[in-house]
Formats: sequence, structure tokens, C-alpha cells
Amino acid sequence: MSDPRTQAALLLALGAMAVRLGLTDAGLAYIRPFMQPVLVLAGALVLGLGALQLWRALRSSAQGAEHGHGDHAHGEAEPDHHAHGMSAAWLLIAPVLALLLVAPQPLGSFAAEQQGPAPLRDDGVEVGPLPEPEDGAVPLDLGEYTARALYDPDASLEDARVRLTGFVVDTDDEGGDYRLTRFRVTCCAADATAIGVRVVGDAPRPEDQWVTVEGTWEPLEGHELGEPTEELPLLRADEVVEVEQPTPPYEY
Amino acid sequence: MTSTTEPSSTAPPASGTPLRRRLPTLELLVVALLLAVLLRPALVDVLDQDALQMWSTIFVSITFQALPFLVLGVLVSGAVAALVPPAWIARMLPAGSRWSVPKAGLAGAAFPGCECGSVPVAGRLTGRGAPPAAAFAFMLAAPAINPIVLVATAVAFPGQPEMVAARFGASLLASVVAGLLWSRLGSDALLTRVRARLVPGGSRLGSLIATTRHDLLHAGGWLVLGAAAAATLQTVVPRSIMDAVASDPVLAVVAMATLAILLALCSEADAFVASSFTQFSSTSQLVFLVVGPAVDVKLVAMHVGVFGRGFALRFAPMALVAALGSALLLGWLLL
Repeated sequence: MSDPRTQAALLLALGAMAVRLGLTDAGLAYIRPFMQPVLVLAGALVLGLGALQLWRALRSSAQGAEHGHGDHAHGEAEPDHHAHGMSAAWLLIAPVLALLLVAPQPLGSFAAEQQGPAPLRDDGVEVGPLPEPEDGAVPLDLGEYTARALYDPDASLEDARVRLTGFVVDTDDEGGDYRLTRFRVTCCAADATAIGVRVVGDAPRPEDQWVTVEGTWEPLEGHELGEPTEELPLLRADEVVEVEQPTPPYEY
Repeated sequence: MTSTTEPSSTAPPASGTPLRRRLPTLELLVVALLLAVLLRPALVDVLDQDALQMWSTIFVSITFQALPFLVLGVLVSGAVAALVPPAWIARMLPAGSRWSVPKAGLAGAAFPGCECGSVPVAGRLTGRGAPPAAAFAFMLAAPAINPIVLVATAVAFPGQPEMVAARFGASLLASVVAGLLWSRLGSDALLTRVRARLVPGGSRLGSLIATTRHDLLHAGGWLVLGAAAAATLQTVVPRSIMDAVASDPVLAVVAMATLAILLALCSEADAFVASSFTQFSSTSQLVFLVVGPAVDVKLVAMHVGVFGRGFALRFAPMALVAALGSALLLGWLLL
């Protein structure tokens, strides 16, 4: 890793990828929207470092050729002062290759199953009154629905029609029930937590299919609101529409 | 250029071109990128496996979430290396003063680099006559308590400012304790390899750019390795095992300390990984944040490179004990 042209190419590839993720919706599979401008800036700096290095390498190889020191730029390459410790730098190509080759999708049913079917824990935040309905139903994200369905002592979901969006994760048991799931991201996708709502009364649907479900809250049997539980909150489906994956794919 | 097919029987190969042929690294890189783009359609089924997808998503997200923090860190560390003469720092830390160690630890708060940067700086400091114990306190404190790392920690643990305070306190305490332990139990004769290295690059700007580029490539590579290890752990180890480990307070601390040593994350990024272990207790997450910048596999390797093997063997356990003790104390007090 002491060839300055390789270093330059590495930095250019990494910087370009950072800028791309910062400017396009594809980046939202990995980081939060507010980090995108920061990533663009960082990517631009990495691009600048790479361009500078490339320019210097080309200039020094041109000078080398004038002086007749062979026809290969390698000979003139300025030796890196820490070349012995630079082999790790090669690894910087790995995230670029992963993006080009695998083009990883936002976390889906596999990651959700990896995390298990436990419901979101009570974060102790007061939820307040339910927002106004839009087009006949109250749009909620799965995190807020869970907080109201399991931990709201005022039972604010009673008699309300709600609209939730998530993807389908199979449950292990019989019947058409599925786990409507969406990931909540605190910082980046590495810390994503799956939030699940058990949908009852709908036909089985393919895993990872995104759906918007309108329906009503159904209390868990034998569960007192506000108490911890291992059961997912329930939603009785009334109308289910298959939709495209939303942007951003996560809740925050 | 010319297509002379004349056999090079007369000239031995050494006379014309340098004998040591380097790997054609640039060509390899270009070929790898081209193959990635061209082969993707053919490999789509192979690469569409759920586990690989999940691994890649987590791997990429850790890398690019940490990249801005890494870039900021290496920029400022480049500026410090280029603009602040180490001799000035050495004057501030007179040998034989009992305050040198805590002062050096605190000074670490003003050195915004990651641990990969602070090891060579500590090497330079000892090379120029600063007391080794103080240089080591600086070396442990700088990557853990500088403003960039603290901001990254605050971003990674939203709504938990006590985590930032606990990290600052525990890492500062750990660095001072480790420095004092060294002055008691260590032996400066073990510092076989310390020598003053010259800062590369002619002008100040040239030195700044060279240091920044070097630190970015070097630390970035180690960061990618850490991200890959973290993604592998998350993908391969089922949450049920993690939950079982995490639910036992002692086991959780041991597990997080081990992870910190094995994952070897850069301190600018480790908070994001720590916060992703959502089922672990705050204290064990703090252990991860305090142990990681003080002692991990890549740091021990760097210690061997900069100070010598005898030093690394003796210093690593001291740093680990100091870091663990401080993290547990501060976790008990604050979290």
C-alpha cells in the first residue's frame, strides 16, 4: 500500500461512494437523514485528498520520465514513511465493493427474526392524546402504536381507526397472523431494533412485502396497560394495501 | 513502447529496472472494481442471501456512519501534528513532577485523534524526554476523551448525557491510573524502540496533508476491520445468546470488555457500535467504551511497533485493569 496512485484511487473510490450515499435515498438504508449532508462533506474531503494525491503522483511520475528513470511510475513513487503499517488501508475497498456487489437492502425479515419477537420496551415517555385522523384513520408509526397499545394507561387507542405501515414477518404459529415490522434506528442501521405489531384478521402475505394496514386496536388478553409483557400488541386488520418500500425505510 | 523482441540476454535484469518489483496494486484495485460492476448481474442469486445482505447492510452502515467522524479526527490530528511542535508539549510536562501524569491525561482532551494517532505521538513525546508515564497517560486519554469522541458518544446515545460524562470521567481516571501504575511497576528500560520520528512532508501544509492522508488510510482500514467483525457478530450470533449473556451483569461486563479488545474499533466510531448492543446494561456499554481506546488487538500491535514487545506485554494488563476498574466505578456512580 505504498504506491501513491493506489492510495489515490482508494481515496477517490471511498469519497465518491460517501458522496453518493449522502446525496441519494440509497444512503437511507444505512444512516439517518440528518447525517447525509455531513457524509457529503466528509466524502468531498476524502475526494479532495485523493485528487491531490493523484495529481502529485502523476506529476512526480512525469518528472521521473523526463529524467529518464525508466518508463514505470513505480520507481518514482514517493515511499510512504509508514509503509510497513499501511496494509490495513486495503480494507477500505471492502465497503465500496460491498455496495457495488451486494448493494445491501434495508434490514428486513431476516434481521427481524434474528432479533426475536419481543415487543418494544416501555420507554416511559407520555404519549398524550391521539393525533387527528387523516383520510379516516390516524397514521401512526409502529413505535408510537406499541407505546399506546401496551403502555398507555389512558387507552387512547380505544375506538380509534389507525393506519400502520411496515413489512411482513411470518409468525411461527397457525393462522394468517403476521408480524407487521419496521426497524427503529437510533444512530445507524447497526443499532436498529425491530418493532413488531401482530396483525390479525388478514390473509397470509409474503414475507418482506410492505403493507399499509388500517384497523383497530385489540387489547391483549390478561394484560394490564402499562405493565411489561412479552406479547406483541395486536391490530385487527380492516383494510390492507400492498405498498412500495417507504423512504426512509426506518423509524427514528 | 517499441516492440523489440530482442532477447535480453546481454543485460542482467537488475541493471535496467529496480529488481524489487512491487505488486501492481493500482491495477489490482481497478480490476477488482471492474469485476464488481461487471459480475454483479451474474452473481445476483449468490449475493442475495439473507445473511449476506444483513451483514453488508450493517457493515456499510457502521463504516459510513463513522466516516465523517474519522475524517474530522484525522484532519485535526494532521493539523496538530503539523502545527504544534512536540517540544512545546514536552516543556509542559517536566520529568519528575507528580502532576505530569494527570496533566498529560487532561491534555489528551485537547488532542482530537483516534488511538491510532495517539500512539505515535506518545512515542515522539517519550523520544523527546517527556516522562514515559505521562506520555502513556496522554496516549490513553487522548483517543477517549477528546471533543470529537465525546460528540460522537452523545450522538450515539441520544438522551443519555450521563453516558458522555461517565466516559469522560472513567477514561481520564483510567489513563491517570495506568500512568501511575507504570511509574510504580513499569520499567522505562523496556522502551527499546522509542526514537524520535520526523514528521513527513516539507512545508507545514504538506506535512498536514501527508499526516491526514496517512491517518485516514491507516485508521480507516482498521475501522473497516472492526465494522466487519461487528457485523459478523450481529449476523451470526443469535440475539438469544446475546440476551442470555447480556442478562447476567458479570458476564455482560466480561463480554463487552472482550468485544472491545477483539473488535478494535476506532474511538470515533466505537460509541455507535456500543449503542447497537441495546440489550446490554449501560455499565457494560461503558466498559466497552473505556476499554476499547485503552487496549485492543490493534493497539497492542502498535505498541509493539512503537515501543517494543517487552513494553506491550507489561503495559497491556495494566491498561486493562485500570480501564475496567474505572469504568465499573464510574458506571456504579453515574449510570
